[in-house]
Amino acid sequence: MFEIQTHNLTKQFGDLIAVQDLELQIPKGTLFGFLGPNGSGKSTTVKMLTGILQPTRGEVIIGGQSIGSSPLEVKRKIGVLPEDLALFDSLTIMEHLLMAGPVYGLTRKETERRAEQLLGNLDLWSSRHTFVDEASTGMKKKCALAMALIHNPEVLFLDEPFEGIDPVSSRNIKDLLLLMVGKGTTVFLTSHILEVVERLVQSFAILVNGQIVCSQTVEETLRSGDTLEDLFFKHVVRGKIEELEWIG
Amino acid sequence: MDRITGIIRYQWRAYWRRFARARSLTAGNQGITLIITAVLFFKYLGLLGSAAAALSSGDTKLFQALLTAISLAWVFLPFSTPPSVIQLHGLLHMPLALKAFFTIRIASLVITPYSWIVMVASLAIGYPLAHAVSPWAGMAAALLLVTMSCLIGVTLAHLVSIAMWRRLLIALLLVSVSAAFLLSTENARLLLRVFRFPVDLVTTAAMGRNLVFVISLLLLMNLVVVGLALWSLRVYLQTTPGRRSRRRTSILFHLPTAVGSLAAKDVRYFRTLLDPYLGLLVSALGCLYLVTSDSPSAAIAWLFTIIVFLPNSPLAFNSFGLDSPAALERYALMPASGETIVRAKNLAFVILCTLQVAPIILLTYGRLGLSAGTLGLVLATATAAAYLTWGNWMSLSLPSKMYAYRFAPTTGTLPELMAGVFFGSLPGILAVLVLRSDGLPTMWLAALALIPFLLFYVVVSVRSGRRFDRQRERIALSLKLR
Repeated sequence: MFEIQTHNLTKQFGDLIAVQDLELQIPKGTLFGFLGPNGSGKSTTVKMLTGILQPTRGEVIIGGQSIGSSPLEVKRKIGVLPEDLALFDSLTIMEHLLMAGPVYGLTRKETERRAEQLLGNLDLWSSRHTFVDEASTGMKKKCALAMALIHNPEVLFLDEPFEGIDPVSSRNIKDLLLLMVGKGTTVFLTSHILEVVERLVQSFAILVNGQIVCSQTVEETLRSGDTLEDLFFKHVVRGKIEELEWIG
Repeated sequence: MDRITGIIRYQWRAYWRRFARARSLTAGNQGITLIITAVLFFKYLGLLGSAAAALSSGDTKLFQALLTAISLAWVFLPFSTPPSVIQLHGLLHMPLALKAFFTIRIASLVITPYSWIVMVASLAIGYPLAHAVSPWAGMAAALLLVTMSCLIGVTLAHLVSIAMWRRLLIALLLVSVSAAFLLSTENARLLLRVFRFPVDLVTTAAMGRNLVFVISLLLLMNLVVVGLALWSLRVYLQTTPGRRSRRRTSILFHLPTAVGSLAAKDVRYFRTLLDPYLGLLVSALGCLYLVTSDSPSAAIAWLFTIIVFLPNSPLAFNSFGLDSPAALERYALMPASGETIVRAKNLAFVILCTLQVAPIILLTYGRLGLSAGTLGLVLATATAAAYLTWGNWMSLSLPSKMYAYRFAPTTGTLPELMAGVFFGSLPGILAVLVLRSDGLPTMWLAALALIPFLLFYVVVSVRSGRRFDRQRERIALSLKLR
């Protein structure tokens, strides 16, 4: 049984095909990395998988339920760290969690208990009363991550979770993800930091121009003698940097 | 100077690009501004002629009224300018001195079409002044008054953005209004004269009296206000980027269920608009009336109850106006239906209106008895339901961006707004009918009047929830454009 499945998932914006006929099958309890250069369609895919964006065609099945026909049921099961964090201005970090808990059906007491533990683990407890519009990028990201985790989701979607995060919190997040995967949670993450992905994920796919060009396990990659970075640049063409003679 | 001109030029371009991208007169407040401006312009032209005739015969009343209106328009101009026109904090990393920031700030005021309307209206005041005893002195004094009003507006707009000063200014406003109400007529007039003093000075100059003294005094007042504006700008630039920390979480976040927790967030948002504070002012006046009047009238108490809802109407008519596109994305991520989100917005409106209306209703119970108090309660409930019924439709059909610590822009077009206000006032009209009917028991009629409004509300909120689910992306786009 696959926890995340897509069939012919396609998103078209006018003439631009952002994602084309995407086929994904991710088993339960997997830490899956979704890689690709900027503008390759990663975030568009995450948005379709989490119900923010309607696909032009195709289907998304999460935990056996279609997000198209049962959006609320699916959203109760998933946690999402979106690309632009989707936070509310003028609310503190703690208030974000206190607001999110009851929306996912948690009691006030349970929300407070989990919020305290999460914020402690993410090194946010002392900043819990900071307004998010005045928080640093890393603090905002950790707040959005805490919101994604507070209801103990079965499937977790993380769009660039390690970008702008300090090393201590980054290690805590990795440990947390491994713990969750060990307990059966499925994690789908996108990242540009290939070294982190290589050490963390079990399997991955590389997306270029909206199409999957490579999909395999990390074990298979290492067995072939390549690093993830080698494999990435086999599929992604790197543009030549022009001479900037005026610099320096 | 080139750097400053460059910044202003590009900000000008960015503003007009956003303006043009809306491609619809219903976006923002463009349509309504256009219609109201045209109507007011013709009315204003007529009044200018009358003021000129009156001024030439020594009657200054109408001229003073027009000058007061112009002065107030300049005070409110900085409040109506969206912060997105020029985001000063975004320029803090550039090597610009305070004077440069000040120049950019003042220049930002003339980017919006509203400022052009105010400028044209200000220039037109020269027509009655030309018929005064001393036209040139009058025009110089009027120019100084306009400059001063604009700088006062700029100072207030800066201070209102800072929490401590905002509280202080609101307290000062409430004290002034209460004092004006409580003082004897003679003293209240004296208080009013203090506020009207600069307008009186312009009139004195126009009538050719004490010219040197009046112009010198206005110049001195301008110097003081320039100093205040510069100081407030420095405080504004220094304060906002700093971390403000709350010591505890708002008690509203203890509200149960998804609707309650989302409503807590919306209350936080709504109370940053300046409009509900006008409602608070009306409520304070209503309470003062009920406390001080020897024989208060139920009809006047109900009138205050209905008027409280008017300044709060943007919270119902444009309930998504303070949300960012990111916030709308968060709604989409949550396992909350459109109906839950719409009801949360409605609950936030009800919470804020209840805080304003409850003291009037409680005092009505105390001073006018059970029957008048209950009718007031029914009237408030029906009015809230009517505003929300219309508001839910308008919030989804014609959303437009609103900004914290500013007055809400009018949204939609004139017919929709008028229909909204009419629909919202229906309970009041029904209350009058109830008062006139002698045959049926009043309570029964009141209860009957409430039922259709509640039914309307339930039906419309369910439908609005479904519409929100379908149109979330369009709403996010509308909020991004301005």
